[in-house]
Amino acid sequence: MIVEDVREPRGSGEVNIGLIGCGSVVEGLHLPALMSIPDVKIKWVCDSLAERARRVARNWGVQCAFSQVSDCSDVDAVLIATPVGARRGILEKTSERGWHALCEKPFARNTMEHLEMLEWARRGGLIFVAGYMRRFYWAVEHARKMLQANVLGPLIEVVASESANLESTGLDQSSYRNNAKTSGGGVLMETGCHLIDEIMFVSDAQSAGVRECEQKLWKDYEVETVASGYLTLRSGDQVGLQLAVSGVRPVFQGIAFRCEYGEIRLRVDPTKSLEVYLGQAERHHLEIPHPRLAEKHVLTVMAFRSEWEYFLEAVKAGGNLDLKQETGLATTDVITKCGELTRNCSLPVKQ
Amino acid sequence: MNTLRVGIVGAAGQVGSALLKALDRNDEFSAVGIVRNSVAAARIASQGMEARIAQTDNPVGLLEATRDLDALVNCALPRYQPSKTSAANHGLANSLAHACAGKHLLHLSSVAVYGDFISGSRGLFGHPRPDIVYGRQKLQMENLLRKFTVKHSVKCTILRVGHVYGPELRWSEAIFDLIKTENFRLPFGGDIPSNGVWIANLIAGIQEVLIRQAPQGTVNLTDIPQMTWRDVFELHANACGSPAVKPMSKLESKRRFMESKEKSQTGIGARLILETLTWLKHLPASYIASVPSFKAMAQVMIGNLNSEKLDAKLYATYSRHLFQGIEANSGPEISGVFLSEPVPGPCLSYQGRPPVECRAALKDWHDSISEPHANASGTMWFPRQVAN
Repeated sequence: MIVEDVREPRGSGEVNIGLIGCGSVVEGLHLPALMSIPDVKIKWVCDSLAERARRVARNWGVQCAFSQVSDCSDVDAVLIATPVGARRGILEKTSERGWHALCEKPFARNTMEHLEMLEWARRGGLIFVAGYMRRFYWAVEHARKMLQANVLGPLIEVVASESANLESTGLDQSSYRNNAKTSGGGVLMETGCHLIDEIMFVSDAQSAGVRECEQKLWKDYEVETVASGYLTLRSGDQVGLQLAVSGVRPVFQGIAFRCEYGEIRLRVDPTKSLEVYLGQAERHHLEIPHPRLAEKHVLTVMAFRSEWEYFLEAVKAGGNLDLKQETGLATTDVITKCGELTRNCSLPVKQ
Repeated sequence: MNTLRVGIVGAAGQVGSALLKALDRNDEFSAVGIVRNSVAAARIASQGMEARIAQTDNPVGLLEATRDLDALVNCALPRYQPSKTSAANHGLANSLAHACAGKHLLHLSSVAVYGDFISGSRGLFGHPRPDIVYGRQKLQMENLLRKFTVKHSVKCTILRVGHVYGPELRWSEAIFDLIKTENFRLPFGGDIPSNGVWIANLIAGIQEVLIRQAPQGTVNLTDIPQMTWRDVFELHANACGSPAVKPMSKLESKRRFMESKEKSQTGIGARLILETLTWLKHLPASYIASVPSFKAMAQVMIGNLNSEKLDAKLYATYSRHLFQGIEANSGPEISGVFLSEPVPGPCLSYQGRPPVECRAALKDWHDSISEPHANASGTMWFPRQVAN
């Protein structure tokens, strides 16, 4: 979906933005990233917990703090960093006000909701982008370029897995993650969406199908998903897909793009090298290290900044973005299909 | 047979989850995981173990959740931003003591309380001097527990646990990384005690304390007998199919050991002054190298002075600093733990197993995290689907 008649920012140069949701990701990653971008004015922060909004505003030098979106003054764009289960109503309100939106990932709980929300963008001439910041990791960009250049021949299969952190989370019972409905229901939604988006982005796949899927559930919380299916590439070719996201066992942390003449391995950790295996029988291993030696947190903040720059540039320029791609519709679709295939399947639990 | 009902606080963490699994499989125990949120509870319960959710810094809440238990093992350590950590430690220690009144509390501390570099100097056991944040937090927790457990008549055992290695543990992950790091060299060839403990031995030690009702007090817990770093690295190198790590030269090892020892005996204030002086000493060269205007002005001044001797001296200083920079980057920094002396003070006596037995488990874990196509049993998740 391309939005052609994009609403331009009110003033020239500086973009006024508002932040909705003041959780740890906003304080730890979005705010440090935004503070380093010139021509950005954070007009207000908003959180349903008024005290939290006031504290964040005080700590980061933001003038206004609100507890309701309806009280907020007009801005050009907003960050919607509320949990996916508490987003639809907020995005509807911000769209009515004519604000462009960068939404935390995943964009929606299911395909139907995703399409409905994109329709608001089309009607209002708005830009919606989902916070899939891993697209801005150095290794992700390079893996994408290598696949596009067909360096290792055509893509044959993608195998991806990631461990979801359910241990040492530092969360107490006040966290939204305790509520499966609000958080989206488990590790596939929370962690797996990043992994699926990386697969789609790097391989430039247009859609994905799921043939088999098994999910481990405890009560209504999903702790592991294992799925197999296929990706439909831009050329129309289909390639195999194997996917595992687990909060209960250790798995390989990354994606293997298997091509005719070798394999590209992309790690989840942004500090890790991009690995290339050449040949099939006798494999030669190459490691392409990150050009900047930096800690994981620094590289993550840098990716957040790049994501914001990309979004703000689009807002300023009124660029034609493919919002289905920008918001990761295919990713939402894979999550939806996995859920549909395994609905009502849960493990026995010792109470 | 009467089983001992044990609650593990922080049961979703690295050590806590391994301990819970082991106690759950042992008929002598009935183990329960105590966690703070539903996500961690889901991780435990989905593996068929019992999880209870409790606000661990709330004395009443923790007491309610653990009333039917005989003993608690604390594996949790509050980790927040620095401004909140101290209060969080206070809250957790108070709750644990309150919930364990008349019972046994086993608290897992760390050898990090002795510092990154452990010197076997006298008096360190009774008066540890941690030099890293983690060690300071662990020591603060120990002190708080000593204070609160006396008040609530709790039988408290504090175990200062060595560097825990084994499957799914960060120490093992770090060792795998070091084995694969090209320039890493083991000081003294690794022929010094590691102060490490295999996770299975840690669990054996904890079981020993719980069953035998070990006396109150503080003891260290490491492998018995201690493994050398060479043994630990060889175990990991075997598991990942890598060649053995090369030894650091004796001279360099000795130099780094003396440096670490000296650093560990110097107070933080004195260290700050020394490090600032070192930085200042390096400043002119780095200024000349990095600030073009300063470099240009200096060159004009030297030109005006017309002193060839000064010219040569400055250039020699500049070159020396350049080489120092290159030499400093010639290898990865060596942590003090690889140069340390054995932990001071008493060590827990228990029936351990030779860590060489963990080789197969380490290999399985390494294979599962290093190869994208296989699950734990080495097979594909699903039969390969050939796309149309």
